[in-house]
Amino acid sequence: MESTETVLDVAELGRSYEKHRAVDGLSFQIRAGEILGLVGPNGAGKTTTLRTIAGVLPVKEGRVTIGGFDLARDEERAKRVMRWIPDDPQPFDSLTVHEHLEFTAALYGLADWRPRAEELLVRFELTEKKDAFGGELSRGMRQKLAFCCAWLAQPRLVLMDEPLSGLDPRGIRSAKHEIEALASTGTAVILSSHLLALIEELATRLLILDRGRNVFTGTLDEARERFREHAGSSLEEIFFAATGESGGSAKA
Amino acid sequence: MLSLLTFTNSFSLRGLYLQPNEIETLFSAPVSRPDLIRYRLRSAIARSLFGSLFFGWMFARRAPVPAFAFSGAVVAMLTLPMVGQAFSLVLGDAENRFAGKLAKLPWRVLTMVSVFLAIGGYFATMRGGVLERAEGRGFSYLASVWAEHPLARALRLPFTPWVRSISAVDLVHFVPWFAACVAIAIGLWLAVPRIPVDFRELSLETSADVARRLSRARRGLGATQGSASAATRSWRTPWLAGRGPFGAVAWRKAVSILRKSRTSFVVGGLIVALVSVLSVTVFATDGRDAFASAVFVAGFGTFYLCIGLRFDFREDLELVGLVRSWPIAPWKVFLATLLPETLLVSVMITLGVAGVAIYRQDPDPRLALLVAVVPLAVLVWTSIDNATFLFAPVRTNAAQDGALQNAGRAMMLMVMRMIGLAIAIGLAVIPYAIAAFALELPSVAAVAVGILGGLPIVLVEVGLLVLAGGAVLRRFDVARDTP
Repeated sequence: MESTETVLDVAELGRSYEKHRAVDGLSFQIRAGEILGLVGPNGAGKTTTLRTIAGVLPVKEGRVTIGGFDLARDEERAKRVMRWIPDDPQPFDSLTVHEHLEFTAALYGLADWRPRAEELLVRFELTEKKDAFGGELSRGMRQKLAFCCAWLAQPRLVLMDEPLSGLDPRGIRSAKHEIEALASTGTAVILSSHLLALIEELATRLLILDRGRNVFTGTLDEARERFREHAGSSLEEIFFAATGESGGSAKA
Repeated sequence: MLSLLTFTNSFSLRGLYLQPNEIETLFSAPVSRPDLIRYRLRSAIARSLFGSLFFGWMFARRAPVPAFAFSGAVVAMLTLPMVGQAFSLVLGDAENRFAGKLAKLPWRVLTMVSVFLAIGGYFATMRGGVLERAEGRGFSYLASVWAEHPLARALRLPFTPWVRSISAVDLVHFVPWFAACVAIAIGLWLAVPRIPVDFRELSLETSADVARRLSRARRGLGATQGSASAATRSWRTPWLAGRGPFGAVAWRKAVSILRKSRTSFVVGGLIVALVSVLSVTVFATDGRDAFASAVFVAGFGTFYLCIGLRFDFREDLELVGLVRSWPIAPWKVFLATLLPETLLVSVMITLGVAGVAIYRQDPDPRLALLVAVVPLAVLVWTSIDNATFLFAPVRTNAAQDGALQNAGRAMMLMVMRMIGLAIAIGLAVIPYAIAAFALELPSVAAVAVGILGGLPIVLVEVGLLVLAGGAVLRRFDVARDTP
């Protein structure tokens, strides 16, 4: 259910760690219902970009607007419509799975959350674990719990960093289905991953980063068109062609 | 004493202690187990070198022949790591062979030795009027009596070569004993790597144990260092601060405290009970009312519980990244995180104060005022403490790289905390000081002015400190690794 409504607007985002330029003048937008695949080599600035949009890192250069709210000036309202799933979610070790949902509901001010929580526990196969402490969960279970908490309030924007790591094949299939289902309800999703096949399968648009810079933004077809003379048609070949030409701007 | 420490340390480092990355690399490498032990011994001896030189210098200053004392002490100190490693391997192997039976044996042995020493010391002191003779001669006389006891002499026997080397007065007395020390050291160096123990599983367990201890140490002296008890799974914690974002943060912290810190509660409660009893018995003097005892309970209780029951940002440092993505202002997170600890400490102190009032049968109205002030005092201290911690989180660990620098930094931060507390108290007592000393009002009037003027100041301080804590939390850079 893609629409023209812009959910996230990133303008001239920048971030440096001492002398290292992690993100350099990054600008892009994402609309409701889109799944933006964020790819790039190690150290390209993907996680820094996501953590900055999530509010984990302060916005030092540029501007981030989420759901019409400026992240720097209207932080609480911007964060209320967004969810962040880091690459290795760490639940609270003394809260049970169900209490995580209770906590999330209170944190985001949700009413009547219980039926949806029960539904999510079933969908993510966590019903049997609902009384388990966060500290007792396996890597895959932690990931599923993070999905449940993020999905609970049907946010307008979800940021995911390597969302499938730790999941078994059944969990991977289920997660992919759920991500697509979430986007179909109008939620914008940013999916950062090194698994190019996953991006190729799910993403409706691509953002390729290299050394902190945006080297390509557009659909997969636009990428194929853009890098036609350099590579074949798979995302892997596009990725190598794009990151091998990082010096030039290749915005579609 | 150093031998005893080496012995007890070998209980906790069973097998061969290696860091996790060393285990993965070295165990899978074509390196023999004796070579691994030699590698570990070399590291341990190298680390002991500076200490051995220091102790050698210390002994040399007091011994009849400094060179002999220095040499003997250095060899003794360099031998200790090898003895400790031998103990670690042998005890670990014994524990493996006899499963859980031996797991507690070292501590039982230590307890028995301590009891024997205590009994021996008692009889050595009581026998033949030693106490009477010790009168006026001080502790050194008693120590010399204990040292000459047959039990003490038996315990000292294994240390004879080193003691004789250190205390030798001429070459004739020095050479044989020193040669024995060197021979023992060389013998251990050759023998310890050949101890036929497969230490791999023990090393994995020890490495995991040490990693857990370091992880707990990194969290500082927080009281919620354990894991949630399974028995508490069905416990429901009330939402005392409502079901909004603020209430959620406070509730999460309260759940963590209740599920992970039962032992700390019991210990804290016992301490407050003990202080309450002491305040109305041992320290009470005729003519003092319940208020004086209650002030003692409140003062000591606040001081002790704020340090002993520390349920604050120290245990949440790894979560700051997550916290920052929540839709709630940092100052609210700061206050909500500290609120459960404040309430808990205040309730415990209130119970202590109530106990004092009931025992003294003195329902002094000032007690209510005291109880009302305690939460503010606790909040002032925890805010200063946590704001300083978040400003520069220093978590030192034993043998951690840069521990010395961290120790200096930690000391500076403690000074900052104390200065902050002194300023907070100083400002709060200004109205009383003006009333009592500048205006020379009668005592009751000065106290009244002090309360009426001081309370708003404390409230403002709490507000400012919470805002400062929020600002520090906002600027906390999660992108930087903290030691």
